[in-house]
Amino acid sequence: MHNVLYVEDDAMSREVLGMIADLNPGLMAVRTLPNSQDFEAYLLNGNPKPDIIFLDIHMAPIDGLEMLTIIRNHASFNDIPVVAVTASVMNEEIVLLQGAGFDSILAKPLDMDRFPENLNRILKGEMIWIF
Amino acid sequence: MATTNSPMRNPTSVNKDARLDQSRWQTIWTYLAATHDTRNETVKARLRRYSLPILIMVMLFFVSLSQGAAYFVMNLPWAIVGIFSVYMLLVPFINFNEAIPIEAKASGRLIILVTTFLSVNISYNTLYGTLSGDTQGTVSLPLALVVISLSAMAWLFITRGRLTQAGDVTVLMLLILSCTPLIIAYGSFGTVVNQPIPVDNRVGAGVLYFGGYLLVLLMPYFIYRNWQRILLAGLITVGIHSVGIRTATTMGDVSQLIVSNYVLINSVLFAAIFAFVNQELRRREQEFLVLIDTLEHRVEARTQELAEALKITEVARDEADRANNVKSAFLASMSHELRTPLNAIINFSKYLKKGGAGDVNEKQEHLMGLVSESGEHLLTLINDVLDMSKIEAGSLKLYVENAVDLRDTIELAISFTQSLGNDKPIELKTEIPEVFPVITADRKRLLQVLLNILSNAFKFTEEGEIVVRATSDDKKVLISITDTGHGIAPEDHDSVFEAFKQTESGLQQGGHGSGLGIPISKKLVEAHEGRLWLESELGKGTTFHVELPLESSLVPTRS
Repeated sequence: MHNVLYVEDDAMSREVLGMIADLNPGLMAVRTLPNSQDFEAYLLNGNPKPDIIFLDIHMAPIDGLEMLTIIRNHASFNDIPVVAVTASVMNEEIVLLQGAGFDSILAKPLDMDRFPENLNRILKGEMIWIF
Repeated sequence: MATTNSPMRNPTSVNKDARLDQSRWQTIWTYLAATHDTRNETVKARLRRYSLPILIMVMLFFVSLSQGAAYFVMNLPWAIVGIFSVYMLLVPFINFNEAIPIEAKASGRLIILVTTFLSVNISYNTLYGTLSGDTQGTVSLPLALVVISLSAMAWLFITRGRLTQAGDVTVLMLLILSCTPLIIAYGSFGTVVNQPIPVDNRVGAGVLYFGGYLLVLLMPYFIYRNWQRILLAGLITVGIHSVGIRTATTMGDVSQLIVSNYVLINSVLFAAIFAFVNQELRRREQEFLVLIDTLEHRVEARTQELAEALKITEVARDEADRANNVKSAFLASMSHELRTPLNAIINFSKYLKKGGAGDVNEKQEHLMGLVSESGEHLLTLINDVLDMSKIEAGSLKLYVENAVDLRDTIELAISFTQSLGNDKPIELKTEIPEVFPVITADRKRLLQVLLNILSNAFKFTEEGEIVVRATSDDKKVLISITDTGHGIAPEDHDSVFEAFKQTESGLQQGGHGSGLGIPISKKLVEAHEGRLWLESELGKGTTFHVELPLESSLVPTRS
């Protein structure tokens, strides 16, 4: 059972991750945060450390890239694998994400069927770039 | 009008020799201007070469004829010998400095001619006088030396390039020739003139003669351009000279006038000829300069045109860049905007179908399945369009890895597409060796290629089999996918690889899809430095071949 933290401003996308959890009992416990402020609050309030963090890239006021920096600079969260989740798969964006240091990149729409396998591979340290 | 003293306007770098050949003075002028290689000269050419000296001799002949046979006998032979010997010996070998303009070369040679004539004549005179003891009608030795020195100086000046301007040359020539009044004043010219000029009037005469020449010299340079003016100036000088002679000598003897004038006339004639040719030269020079000017203008106009065209191109390029940026931005947002809802469509329907929200009946399951399939199909279309636009923009980037296991990739592709054949009596066969090469490639894109081909195979085959064969040699691998579908007509073979084209038969089959799958696959294979082609027979089936090199210039992508 992995603890998954998902920061995502699109409600439906948040639901999707919940659905994946439902369909795969014992796979993960999902906690979603709807915006970056909540995320910062989560960090500040000494909440338990997740096993993996999924970050939506297109968010405001702080986007996924900035949040990655915050995580990496955090005392205890900096070693958690961080996965970028993005609906935009243009070259420039991909290059940006690859250069930013995300552990993996998943494209929206998420592949529900392969998600469990991908999750395990990422947690084993594999870099998956699906887009 | 260029002045004679403006070196910048002297187009010495231009091969004016080539342009001077149209004038009727060609013979004289080109002869004077050219450097001769006398080794292979024909007789005709040689005669042409001597035409000017011959002309001069003829002139002198007629002038001196008026003096009677004695003068003819006494002076002409010397003149002939003098001129010809010097000319034949020296002129062809005179190495003019290449920088000297043609007119200077030609007039330089004229000066040499004239001064040679003078020097020889004076030398003879002196010699005769010294030898015969009759110093009455002879030129004094110092004077002779002066004239000869002046001649030599002129020659040196011109050949060594000190005097390059035609006007200067003309002046120098006249300067030298103006020595003749001195000679006439202080000693008669040749022994024909038996009556020496009275001593008491020699100074006066000399002054007048010299004054006459000075008058010509003092006239502005520009008159030397015009042979008519020179002739006029010469005639004026002759007039003054004649007046001087008449005052200095006893009246009545016109022959003396002629004799003492002959040098003057000669010099005037020389000057006139020279000026005439000069005029020609100047006219051509003007033409040439005008041509240069127009050329300059034309070049300027052209440069202007080009600059404007360049500006237009730059503007066009800027606009193209802007259009590209707009297009990229559009695609970026399209990619984002279109995919986000698909997340819900595909995944929610899958969730419902799998009973995540409660039990579903068969019909609901079926319908949900169709929703998610349609969503996935839409996603494929969007991805295809995005891929195609990336390819067209040349911005498709491969994510290259080392050691991509082709066997794995093929098997993965088969596992993905197998289900497409579930409703049809199609058998899927594979012939892949246990050991198969790995290559440096974009694993995902190769999978995409195989998926495209396999899904096409399943789409267009109703029954029969689909065989996936993989072979390799030391240079390349070959993956062939053969189906027993209805085949592709020969005329459609090419259009299969063209974007957005669906063949007649394809459309009849109710084929949907973006029509981009195979074209994209072809580009992807080519990006791997491979080849994609097909073989097909209507009614029998189709085989797609994917050939990939084992060694390519692809390098693993590092972020």
